[in-house]
Amino acid sequence: MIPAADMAGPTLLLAGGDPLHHNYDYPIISLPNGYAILTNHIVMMLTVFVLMLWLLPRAARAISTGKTGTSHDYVTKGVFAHLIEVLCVFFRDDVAKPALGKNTDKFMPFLWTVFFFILFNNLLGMVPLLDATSLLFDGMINGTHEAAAHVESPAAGEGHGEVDAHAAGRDDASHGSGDHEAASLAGGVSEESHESHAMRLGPLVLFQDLTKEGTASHFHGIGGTATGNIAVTFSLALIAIIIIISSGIKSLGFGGFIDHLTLGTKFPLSVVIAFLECVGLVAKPFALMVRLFANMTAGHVMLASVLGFCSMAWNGVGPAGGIIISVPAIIFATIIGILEVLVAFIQAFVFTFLTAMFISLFQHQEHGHEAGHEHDHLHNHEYALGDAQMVAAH
Amino acid sequence: MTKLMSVLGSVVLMGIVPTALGAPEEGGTEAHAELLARPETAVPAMIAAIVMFCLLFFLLKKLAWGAILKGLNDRETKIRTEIESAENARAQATRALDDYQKELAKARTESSAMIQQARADAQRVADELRSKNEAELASMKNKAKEEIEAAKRAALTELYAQTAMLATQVAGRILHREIKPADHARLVEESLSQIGSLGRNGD
Repeated sequence: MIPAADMAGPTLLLAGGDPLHHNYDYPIISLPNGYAILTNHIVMMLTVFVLMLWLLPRAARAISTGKTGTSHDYVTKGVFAHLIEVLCVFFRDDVAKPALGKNTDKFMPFLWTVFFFILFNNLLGMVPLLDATSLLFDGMINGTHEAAAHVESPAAGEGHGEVDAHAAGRDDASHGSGDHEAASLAGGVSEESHESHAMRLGPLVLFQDLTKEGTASHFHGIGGTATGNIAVTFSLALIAIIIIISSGIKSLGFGGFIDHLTLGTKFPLSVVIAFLECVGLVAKPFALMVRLFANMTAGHVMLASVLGFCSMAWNGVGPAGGIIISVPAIIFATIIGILEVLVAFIQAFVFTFLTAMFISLFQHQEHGHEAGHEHDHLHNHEYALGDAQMVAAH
Repeated sequence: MTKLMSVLGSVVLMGIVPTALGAPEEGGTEAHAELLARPETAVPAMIAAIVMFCLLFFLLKKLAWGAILKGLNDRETKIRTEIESAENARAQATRALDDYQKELAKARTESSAMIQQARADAQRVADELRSKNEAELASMKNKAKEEIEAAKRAALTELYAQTAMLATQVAGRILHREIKPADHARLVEESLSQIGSLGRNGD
């Protein structure tokens, strides 16, 4: 299927074949109807979940003040706690406080969670777990399961004995997913033979191959960047907009919030203004969602493309050409990788920073409403400009 | 109410406008790019992200953020009070230094005044002593002079008395005989030697 399949090692194979490979959310455990209950990105988020619950309370204990009554109580203990403290203090004092004022501490737990959740996911995505697990287990899982398919197929007696797993998968495509589901639930004998190449755990399917219709397994490795998944960034943006709107209604009151959307204008004009403001309300989380997704995806696509040159050159012009192209490609990929670490921090910062800004737009300001609104919009505009430049730079 | 209607109307408009403008249909033509958001994986990932984020938020709020916020606030308060107390201490120290310098200047002035006073007193005492000594010396000198004068006068008085007595004795002897020129000369010579011997004895 992929020309680079002759290459040894799935990393180069996949990088050379499909630069988006690292960004796909491969299912690990799927229901019979095709919906996954555990995917690569869910595993990554679970890892982040465990890491955050393990590391942050430890850091919090080191940051919190002691009870000995001496000045030593106020000293943060440990390098990691210092790092966390610096980030927390920076977000609280330099990012949130100028926008949220006296409400800062109320929103800090949410903003910190957003920041660290995104940051941990971004950084964990930089660890080549997908490639490592693929290298380690690819032969073991895919090899044994395809061999098993070859052995089992003749026994099924349906004339598919000579057909390999991929071909069987394509055969399944002709049945259509709806038929397949019905047959699968009914446990038909003929369907069993077609699905013999799929790895199963009771009724659940392991490593469902999404490139094929019907049930087929292929192990691609476990890893990836959860924040490079638009579904995940959508969820984060959804949570952000819910918090933005609910905190706005809580602060201004429902009437005040509606008033804020119409900028206090009279009927004919208020429709247009409210329309624009509603567009803005949707655009804000949409921008958050797309920005994070695009930045995380772009970095990995770029890395995969650059590394893909190695296998392309190897296959195209032979080993000598492969080595000549590989050296600058690997150096360049390393530089991009370092840049990606920076991007991981920047994007976590930008998402949190803009969320704080958007929350502040709908908070009761101490100064006059009109002036405040204009001021906020000006700020927002400036930040949006700055952010656009930052994104453009990537 | 009108405003609420405006907002609702705008939400409806938001649905209509993109359709009217001919928004492109969803889904790409690339078979693999489709994998980026397949509902089979996107829906579970979405649910997992929301559930995990919310769980993280509540758990960390309890386990980490509260303690961190408290720690940061405590530190902030501590630093603020420390700075305030340091500023107070500095102000106190400045005041104390000013007071000390004033006291020092005052002490210097006082000590120099005292030295001046002491010097003046010593001078005065010395002057007094000197003048007293001089007066005493002068009085002693005068007294000695007076005593010498008195002694001189007493001696002269005695001399005169002796002389008169001798003259009387000489005159008596002369009355007993006739005095010849030779006797006269002898008598005077005797008287004179007597007076002279008296004068030597009187010394």
